[in-house]
Amino acid sequence: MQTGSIDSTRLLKELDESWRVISKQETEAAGGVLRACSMTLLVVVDGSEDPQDLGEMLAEINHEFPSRTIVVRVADAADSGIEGRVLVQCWRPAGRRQQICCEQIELTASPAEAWSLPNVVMGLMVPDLPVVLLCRKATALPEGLLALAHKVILDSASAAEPGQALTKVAEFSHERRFAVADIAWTRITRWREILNQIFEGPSLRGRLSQVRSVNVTYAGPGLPASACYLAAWLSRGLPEEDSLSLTEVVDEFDCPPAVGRIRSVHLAGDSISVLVSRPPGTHVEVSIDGLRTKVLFPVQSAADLLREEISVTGRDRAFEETLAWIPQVLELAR
Amino acid sequence: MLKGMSDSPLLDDPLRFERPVTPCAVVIFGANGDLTKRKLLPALYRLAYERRLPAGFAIVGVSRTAMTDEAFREKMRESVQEFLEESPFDLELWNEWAKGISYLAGDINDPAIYRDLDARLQQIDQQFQTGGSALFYLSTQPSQYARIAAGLGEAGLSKPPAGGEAWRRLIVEKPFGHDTGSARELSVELRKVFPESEIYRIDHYLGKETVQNILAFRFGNGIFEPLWNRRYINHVQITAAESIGVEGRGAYYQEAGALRDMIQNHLLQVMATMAMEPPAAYEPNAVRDERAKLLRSLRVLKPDEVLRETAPGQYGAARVGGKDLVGFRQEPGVDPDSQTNTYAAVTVFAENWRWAGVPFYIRSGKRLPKRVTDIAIQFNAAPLSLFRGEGDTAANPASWPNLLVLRIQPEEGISLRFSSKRPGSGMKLRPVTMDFNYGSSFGSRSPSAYETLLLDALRGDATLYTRQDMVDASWAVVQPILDVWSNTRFNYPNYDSATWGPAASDEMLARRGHVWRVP
Repeated sequence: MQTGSIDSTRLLKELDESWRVISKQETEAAGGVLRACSMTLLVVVDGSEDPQDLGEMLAEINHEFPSRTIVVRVADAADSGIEGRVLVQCWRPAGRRQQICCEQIELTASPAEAWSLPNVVMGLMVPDLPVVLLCRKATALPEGLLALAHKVILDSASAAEPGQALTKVAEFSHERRFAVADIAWTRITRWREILNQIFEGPSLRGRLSQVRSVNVTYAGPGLPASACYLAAWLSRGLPEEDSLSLTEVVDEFDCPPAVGRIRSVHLAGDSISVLVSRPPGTHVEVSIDGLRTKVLFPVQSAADLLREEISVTGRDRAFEETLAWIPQVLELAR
Repeated sequence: MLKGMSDSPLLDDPLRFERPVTPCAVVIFGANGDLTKRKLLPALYRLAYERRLPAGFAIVGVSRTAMTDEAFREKMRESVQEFLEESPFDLELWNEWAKGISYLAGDINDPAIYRDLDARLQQIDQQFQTGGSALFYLSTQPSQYARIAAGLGEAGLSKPPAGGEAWRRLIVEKPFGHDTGSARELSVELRKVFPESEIYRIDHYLGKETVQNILAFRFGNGIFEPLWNRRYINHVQITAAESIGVEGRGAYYQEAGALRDMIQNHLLQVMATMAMEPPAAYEPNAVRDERAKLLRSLRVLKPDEVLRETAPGQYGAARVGGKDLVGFRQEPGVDPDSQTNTYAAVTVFAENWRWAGVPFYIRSGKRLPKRVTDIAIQFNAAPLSLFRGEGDTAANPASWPNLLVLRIQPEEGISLRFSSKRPGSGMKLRPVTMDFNYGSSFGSRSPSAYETLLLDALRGDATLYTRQDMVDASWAVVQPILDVWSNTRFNYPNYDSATWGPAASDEMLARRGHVWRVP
């Protein structure tokens, strides 16, 4: 561990030493160790983020996307100084003798020192592989790190004011130096998938043009970013004269945060009515012209959401097109 | 000893052991310097440890400082123990071996030192049966090379005793001259005393296992050479980055700069190794002929092209990882108004049928984010993209072009990047790398560059040494750049410490639609 000041050369040496120790500990009978890496995952967190939750999420992600993870922790203002440490995390896939191991480097700095970290991070990235930057709070992002990433993943839902956060996301997207993603958008993938499946089904194929109004309800207080995205996505696919509305409702039941705050989507027209509503549990109820059915709608963990975003390596055109409609939705919601 | 024993095929077993070199003495001028203690003595000791040196072997250290033989031996013992890399130190071996180490104090400008040296070598020859052969290693300031060579010549030391198989060789370290003119002058002075065949110009990069492996990789395998040309290769990036600054050597570095210090010698030689034609045989002159031929084919920039095809830089101060790093101009011994380049990037073209139109981007610098030297060969993209919808910006390309990286240091090895289908439905591709790592593929210790090069010099194998025509050709490429740079006032510093160099370097590649990779 380094304290006081940190430099990438020493951290990499410590990492090498960790590998040497692990290799010596693994005997031939145990099957050996495989150093796995398919990208650099840069994670920027502040003091409010639970390290254990974060650690568990990253460990899960590594199983499918092994990476060198660099966690940049911007500590509370009261803390001072700068620290760096390296870890190697290993797991043994079921049925295999060989351990798969990934590297993690943790850098902790006060807000005053955080701006001096990007140049250290530059020396720690794995060459020639994608760099994904995860920062759940856009406002906490040291500018120097943006230049390093091929993809930046934010979470506008974690911001106190989603409108501002969504505006920031749109700004990043316009820069076009990197692909931008928002976990709040990822949260509505299952909603979009269900709606897509409904309108691809035999009874409604070709009838999207009959929809005249769209209503999205959400649990309050306050308009969640995911509802904005869903409304914007639906607006983009519909004729201009359609009426879009967003309605805040009060939950009648206790709903875990992972379920999300969107409660229903209703698309209606003269001869069409599609309602997808989300009661508690792992299903949604779909009503198509009065006929009801239930569709599986699993609760997604933070790791699930991140996994989905990381699997999209390039730019997400649907997301970018939806972003263009966000200002209209925010205006409507005022 | 049986006559001709060393040539007997009955006793040879190249699979098990190598023949030791013939008896000889090594004379190190500048023996009190850093190079001797950090590299030369540890390397020679290691060769002795591996039984590569003959019983008839001795070392004479020459320098100005007055010192006894014993004091010099003790100093060398401490150095070897401190700087020996990945190798055990055997005190018993040292005590026996060090009996052949002696010291001579004197001024290289005084003819007496050479007479004393002659007498010492004759004494050594009698005591250790060195057979009259001697290797003179000039580990001094380059400005002293000509004087020392002349002194050796005047004392008759450059010629071995008549009527035997003894030899006399000279090793010089880079820089081989400060510019084209001084390089030629130096060559003339050295060749007045030693024939070209006995002048060994060290470029320690050529002694690195990983650089030697480039030839093995290219010419020991059948699958790469058909792709090794302009039809398949889009461009090449050669990087030699250091994370440290000048580390107290500002005054020396001020006279050199990155272009002279690294690109003119090491990196152009590495480029030549990567780009040369296959030699007719793996023999010293056959290999060097091809390196020289490649270097001669490099396009010389016209003055009005230099600023477009090159990018000099100088590091400025920065706070990195909680530590304040000073800029070059604030380093001790450096002129606060210095125009020395601590970073240099050049675009080079080899004008031959194999490489016409393929840019070779070469960069080197101090105070970059990490220490790394590698050659990255980017191949042309697939002619048709079958797998659409994955994004299409330069910073986030839909496809990641195939990239072959020859890692010289650290993490010595080779990696190949290609796209692979992600498990699951659909055809989503991700870049992956296939890696060969020296450390995990070969458990044995790699010899240091100096071990390899010293052994080769003692054996008379000049394959890994630079020849004068290679020096001339490298200077021919670099001199026009130096001429323009020295007549241009650059706005320094132009890159912060721990960043990848000045913006002009990125612009140099951007003009051709290329981007520096992050190594």
